[in-house]
Amino acid sequence: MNRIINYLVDAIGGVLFYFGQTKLRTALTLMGITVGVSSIIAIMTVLETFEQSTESLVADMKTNIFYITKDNPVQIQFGNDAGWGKRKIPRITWDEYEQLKRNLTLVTNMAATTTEEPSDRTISVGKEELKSRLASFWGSDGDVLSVSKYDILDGRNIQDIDVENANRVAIVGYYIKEQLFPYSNPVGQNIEIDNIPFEIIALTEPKGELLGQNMDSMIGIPISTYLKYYGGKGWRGRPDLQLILEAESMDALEDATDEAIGVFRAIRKIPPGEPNNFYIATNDQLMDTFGSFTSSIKIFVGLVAGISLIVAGIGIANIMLVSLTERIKEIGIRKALGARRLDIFLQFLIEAILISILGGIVGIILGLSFGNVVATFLEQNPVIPYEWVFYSLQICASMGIIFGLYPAIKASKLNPIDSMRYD
Amino acid sequence: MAKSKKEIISIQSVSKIYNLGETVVKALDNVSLSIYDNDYISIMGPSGSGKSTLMNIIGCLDVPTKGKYKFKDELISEMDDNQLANIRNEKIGFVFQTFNLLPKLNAMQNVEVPLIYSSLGRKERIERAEEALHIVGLQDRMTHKPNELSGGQRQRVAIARALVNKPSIILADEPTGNLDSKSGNEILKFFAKLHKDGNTIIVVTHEESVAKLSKRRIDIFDGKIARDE
Repeated sequence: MNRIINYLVDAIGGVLFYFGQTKLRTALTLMGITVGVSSIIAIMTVLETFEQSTESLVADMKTNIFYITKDNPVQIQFGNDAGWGKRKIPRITWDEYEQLKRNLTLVTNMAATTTEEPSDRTISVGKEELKSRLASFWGSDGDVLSVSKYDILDGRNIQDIDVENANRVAIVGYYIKEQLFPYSNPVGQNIEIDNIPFEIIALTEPKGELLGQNMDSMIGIPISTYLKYYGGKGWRGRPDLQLILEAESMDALEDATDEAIGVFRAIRKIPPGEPNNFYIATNDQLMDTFGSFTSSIKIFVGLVAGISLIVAGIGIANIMLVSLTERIKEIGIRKALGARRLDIFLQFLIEAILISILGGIVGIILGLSFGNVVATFLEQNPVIPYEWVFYSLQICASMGIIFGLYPAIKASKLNPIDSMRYD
Repeated sequence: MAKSKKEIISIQSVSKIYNLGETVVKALDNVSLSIYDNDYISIMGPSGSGKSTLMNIIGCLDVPTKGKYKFKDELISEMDDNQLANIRNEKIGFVFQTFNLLPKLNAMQNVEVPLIYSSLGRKERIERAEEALHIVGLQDRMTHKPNELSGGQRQRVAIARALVNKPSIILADEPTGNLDSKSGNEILKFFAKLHKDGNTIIVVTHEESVAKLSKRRIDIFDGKIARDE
């Protein structure tokens, strides 16, 4: 045991000394590892910040909700949807929605929404205009607020009578109040959306940001009002709706989605065997889509980083071989003084491991800094992907072992007599 | 030769043969030799005589092709690399012509090197190294690197390193070869003192003045012992 501690102390001292002597060469060798590790850490940091945001998003979402839409609302899918792009996908219409509403038995609540995210409409109060782009403008016939977990700070929700009469009433997010009603309560006041006046009936509580989107830059109106004023002519057949359906519980979700698929296929008269020409997904599935997106990024980054680490490893093997030839005499002396093969072997191996870990630590620091700068830029909270920090150190140590092995074996086999004479 | 003395090294009919392709070189040819406790031996011979080979074998840096080499009760001629390393570490103190100090380590750390390969703890290592540097009179040069020391001082560091493991024999290969005569004489005086203190010393040299100071002289010629008195 003492011997092992001796090697370690000796090796660390030796490595530090050696680095001091060959700063440039060591720095260049380290750079390979540093680049590999920092790219892993940077990407993982960014992904982790996104995952954290989506986790809070998932926590915010009801699990007994599912959606019927024209396209996958999470537009980051690769491949998979074979033929999806080639077929003409009809928009979901108001008529289809009403038929569905009449025929579904397992759905306790249902809403049709149409959303502009972001919206280019002009939002103004008198002469005051909202300067930034509205993040979300939606119309809905049901209780969308509770589905997306907005709480009303003041005022009332959209009611059936508003939908029936296509009333010009609006729910506004906290950002709208801050920007356009900084000194007064907006509830009861008027707001113009593309110069059409609306009465504000509710102000929602601030929600902050999610995935880089300002959740409080939001205006909601009854869907009938939306379709009437913004949906174009003959609105009942025209617009593309997103349907939000609520099952009684999470357990009832599967039966409810099955029923909805069956009924919607019947409404659209899709023959058996043909694929759905609409998209149906639960919140879980939407998150899965996101998950598969992040994991494909992870695989890609892993490959790139893996290649750069192999290149870096070859660099380590190279520097260890150079260091070996420079130190043949030293090895000879050490062997003459009683160093066994194992002693020399471990001395070199520990050096290789220390070099790689040192490179790794620099890489981790750079990666964390870079990743968190990007995360901050994307308005995410900074994180440290501890798991990946740990993996990186492990990878570095293994690289040191793998690429230090050959030089270490070579060094350990040197003959003391000849090596001592070497200059 | 005092027969009452304890035998440390027993070399019996040892040969070392190098096979260099077509030619076969007998560096040592059937050499027998005994070395006793507290001997002060000089091994002399011209270059190519086989004295370096003999030194390498005595120093357990190399094993004979033929013959038996016993160090106390241990049969060196049958040992593998690691066993030889342990013997060198525990039983033999080396002093080389070119000092062979590690340039990046200071005097203290150089003296510590053999102890790193024994199983001593750090505290004991430092004590022993300090003690050895005291013996050679370099207690005030402990943190100097070899390039900050004179030739004589470097050789004294090397002697301290040779002494630090309390070896059975001290094996010096041309210890004054790279020194001016004044420093060389100091080193030789020091060997005399070590011998007086009970150490066994073997000096390989080609200088008469060095050999004269020893108590026993062995001449090697053509791989054979030409004289032993």
